[in-house]
Amino acid sequence: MKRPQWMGTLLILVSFIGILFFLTGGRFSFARQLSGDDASALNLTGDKTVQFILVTVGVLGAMGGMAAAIAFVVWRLNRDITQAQTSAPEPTNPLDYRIYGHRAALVLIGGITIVMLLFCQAISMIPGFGGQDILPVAAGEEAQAIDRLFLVEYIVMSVIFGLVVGLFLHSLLYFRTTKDDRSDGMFIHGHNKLELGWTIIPAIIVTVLGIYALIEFIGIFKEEDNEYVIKVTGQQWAWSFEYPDDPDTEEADGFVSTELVLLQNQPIKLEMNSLDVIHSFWIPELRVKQDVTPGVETTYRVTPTVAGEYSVRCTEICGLNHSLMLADVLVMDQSSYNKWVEQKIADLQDPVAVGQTLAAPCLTCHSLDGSRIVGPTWKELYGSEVPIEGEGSILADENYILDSIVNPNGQIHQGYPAGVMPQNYGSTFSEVQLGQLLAFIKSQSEIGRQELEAESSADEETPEADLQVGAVVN
Amino acid sequence: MLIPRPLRILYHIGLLRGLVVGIIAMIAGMILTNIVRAAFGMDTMDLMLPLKALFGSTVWQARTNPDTATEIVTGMGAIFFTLGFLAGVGSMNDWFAWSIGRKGGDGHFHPKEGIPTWTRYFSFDTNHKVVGIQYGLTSVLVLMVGGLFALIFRTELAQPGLQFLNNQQYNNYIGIHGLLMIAAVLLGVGALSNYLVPIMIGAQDMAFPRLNGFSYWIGVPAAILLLMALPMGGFDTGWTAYPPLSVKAPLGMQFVLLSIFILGFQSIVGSINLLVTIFMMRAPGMTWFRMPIFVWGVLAASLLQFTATQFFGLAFISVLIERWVNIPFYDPARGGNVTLYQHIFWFYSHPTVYIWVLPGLGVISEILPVFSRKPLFGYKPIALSSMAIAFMGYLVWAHHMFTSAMDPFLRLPFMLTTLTIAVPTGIKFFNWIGTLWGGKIHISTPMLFSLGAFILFLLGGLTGPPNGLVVTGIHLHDTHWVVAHFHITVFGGFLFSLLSAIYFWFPKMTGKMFNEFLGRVHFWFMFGGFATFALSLFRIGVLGMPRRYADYDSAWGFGSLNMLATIGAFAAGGSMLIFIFNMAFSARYGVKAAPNPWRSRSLEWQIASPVPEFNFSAIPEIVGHPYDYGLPGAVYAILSPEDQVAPLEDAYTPLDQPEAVGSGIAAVPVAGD
Repeated sequence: MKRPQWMGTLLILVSFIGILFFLTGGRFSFARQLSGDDASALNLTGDKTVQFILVTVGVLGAMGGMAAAIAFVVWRLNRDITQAQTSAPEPTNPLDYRIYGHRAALVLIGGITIVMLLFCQAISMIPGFGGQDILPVAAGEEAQAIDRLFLVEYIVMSVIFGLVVGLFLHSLLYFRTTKDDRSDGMFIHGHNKLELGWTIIPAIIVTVLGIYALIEFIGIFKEEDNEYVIKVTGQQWAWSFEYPDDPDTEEADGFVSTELVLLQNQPIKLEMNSLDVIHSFWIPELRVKQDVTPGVETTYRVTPTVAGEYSVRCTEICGLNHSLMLADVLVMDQSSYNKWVEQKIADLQDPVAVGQTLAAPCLTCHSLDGSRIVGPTWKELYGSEVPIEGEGSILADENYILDSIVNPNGQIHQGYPAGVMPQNYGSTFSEVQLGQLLAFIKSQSEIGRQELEAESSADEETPEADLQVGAVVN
Repeated sequence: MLIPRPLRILYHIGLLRGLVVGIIAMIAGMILTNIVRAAFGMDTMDLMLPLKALFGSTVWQARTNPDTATEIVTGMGAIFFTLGFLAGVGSMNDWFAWSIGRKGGDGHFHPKEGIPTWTRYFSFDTNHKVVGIQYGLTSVLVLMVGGLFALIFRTELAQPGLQFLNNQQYNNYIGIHGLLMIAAVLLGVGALSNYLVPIMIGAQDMAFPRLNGFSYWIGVPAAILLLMALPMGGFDTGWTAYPPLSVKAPLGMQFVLLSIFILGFQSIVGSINLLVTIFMMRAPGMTWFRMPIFVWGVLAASLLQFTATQFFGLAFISVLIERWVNIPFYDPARGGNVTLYQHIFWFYSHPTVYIWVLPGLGVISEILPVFSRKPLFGYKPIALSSMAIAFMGYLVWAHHMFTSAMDPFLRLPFMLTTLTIAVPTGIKFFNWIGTLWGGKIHISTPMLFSLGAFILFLLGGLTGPPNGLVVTGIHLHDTHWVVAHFHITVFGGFLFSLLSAIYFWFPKMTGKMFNEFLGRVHFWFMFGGFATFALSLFRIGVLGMPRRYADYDSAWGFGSLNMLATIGAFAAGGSMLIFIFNMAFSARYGVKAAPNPWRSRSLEWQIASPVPEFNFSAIPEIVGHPYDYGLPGAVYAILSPEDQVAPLEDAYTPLDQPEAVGSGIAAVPVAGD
């Protein structure tokens, strides 16, 4: 009946599973939670040597603690089980711990739980292991509230995992028998009080968790008084962000951006729409996620608190280039934010700059550096001879480019399959916007840049000269 | 006979007959549809197009928005193929005969002269054991194909950047992987329940044997259509097929919609059959609480299948209708509602998880007492918790829509209902521990898989509440965390149970013993590999890796964990080859197994292996409880002496002298280690 060496191996194996599990369980760094410092636990400042020593000591300490816990559990179990097995009388009372090894089971349960809780400390400090805490940086008020719940969940999960796996393993180790043993176990087919207990206690746990989450939920999604509203548009496969007119100024200074720039500590409300299919708006550092659905405006409330660079990731599959539907998110302090806004307002006068913003959905498929992504590159496209499927070649002039945007399956660039590009750009871009987009495409080629210069000088003389200049060159 | 023998054998393989008739019907259907369209002055389809696509022409790939003519004509072809296949395979012969007033066959298997009996496994057959094995073989086959796709795109994900797939192929493969796996799991449920339920309840066959054979064969054309989706242009929606994306998706989408709609018939028809069988055909004396616990799992799952599958069909067919005749169910500009689809879809697709898992948990509950030599702890709570899970499964669908456009406060009631499911699930876990506690535990391959299933399903269960609690759920939604969560749940709740069941009942099905050593190697590779895979995915999911991403920024720092996940996936996938070798080799060359190698008390182990054509020559009488291990003198069932092959005492009496039982049992690897 004795298998001490076997037991040690199994224990370490399962601790390993538990460890891996809690790699993923929730917010690991208690130290950080307790100190309220929201930056990463690794974000140590000062001398590199001091940093190195601190991290090494921390990791070794936590690992050592874990190893000690495992060793202790193995030792205690070996002792208890050996003791119980050697001294076990014939079973008379089913609840006698010498038969069932209750004490050993308790040690096992406690051990597994402690191993898990300690491991979190170790893993959150190892720089090489993902180089970060178990969750991304919590960059907003909501994120901090959500992380609190992650921590609670994580502790509850550790304890339940320790309990169930502890009992499970104990049974396997303690009650395992040899293959020659053909006797049967005890005739116990149930226990009503136990059943009642493990029905009611989990019910209470989930109810408490539910109520706690409910309270947090209401807190997270409540409206703030001074919300700044930004309109978000999702389309295959890009995001654009429309900033409103400033009510304090007279002129129209609302602008569109392809990166989401947010002011630190300013509550914002995103009003989100989709032009084609369902997308989902997620900034991992802000934790909140909301689908962007055609036909319905969805809202997304968040208050960013930590300045930094993050990204929006689309999390609802939206067709071919789903994994490229990303956008930069910059959370800035007041002075950088003001500078950025001024720059954007100044850019409003420049069609090429506006066109660059509008081109965001295009650039997931069309490169600017000559490389092939999905569609033809825009580098030196304008003014070049384009080979057309079945029709020789054609000069890429304004008409050709506008036609290719609005009716992409009309003239097919040789070597690029038809039907890939969305066919709704004629309706999603206004006439003016198409002009701005064209200006940006022109700015990507030598011929186009010359034309644009000529236009802008001509523009100063007669505002109507645009098309004529283009026509003459063509 | 004028016809040479090989040709006659080929003719008697129903599968081949079905394929030939199906293809002829498909071509006829497409021509017919073209003629009808031409007659009404509508545009027609170039019928050579599918051939061009199949033989590598790029024309088809480019047609991401096929014209309606192509779509409808190929769709009608698919429907005709299905009907032709079902007729050709012979699954409706008796019904045809009855409908024109003739007397059909008796439904029994009659060996024909010169035709080997293995052909019955590839033809329409009404015997529930043959149907069960057909389901099982198809399930493993589909599982392997689906797993192959998974390994392909898992390898692509091992490093940041696109190495050998492009976005389109990646999207196709994730979608087809998901759907193939769902089909495989449903087929696996069919395998277990068809093979085991009639024997376990002491019946000679299912209530409707012809319907049983039919319900298997309708799955075959569905699987073929599903695989056709790839050469026909693929689909870029993932398995969920959310509109409006699925309305705009390439032509392959249509084959997916049709295939899954057809597969739904299998579920509905099969579950009706099982329900009637369980209700009406239990042996005398088998009260509800004397049923084997696996049958309870099947009962709960069948109730779900019978009542929920229609919603899935409704969701898919409405997308198909929008594609075919442009009725704007899901076009908001014309009064449609995009979110409605998700409600209908998840109203089935959440309960379907329990359709997979409940029979799987039943298998675990069945195997633990046998190898612990102890009664199942808390039989009634386990049985009733299955029913509770089935019932509550209906009330939680919107937790798949926590980030969707539905009213944000609707999330709260669904959060609470979701959390309550933890209670009946917990009951099962604690009762399983109660079963192990104080037993005489033998660990051999079936038990190992059940124990592995216990751990994995526990991890799956514990990672559920963070998804279910809205606040943390909206961070985890549609990330790799969720991918890992449902994979670990299905692996624990179903796949490991299925493998456990296959090992456990393999001696019953074949009369041979499998190789214990290979079984253990399979287990450790599968368990270790899968745990590595799933746990790595949990971590990158929390860190911010969205689902269904073909590529990810190397600056996100997910490279090493993705590599780890890929290695784990290969270990798990590779171990399935060991399994298949073990099963195939042992079925042919294995040692002859004793009638009751596991010393189980259940009915199926009292009769001969492999099971006789009609299970029992006389219906047994049930006089006791199925899990009375350790109770001297307890009797579960009285069989006719002709059927009782295994010695009755051996199943449950504590024996002092094992050699005294002269049935050769001691010579067999009994629950060995």
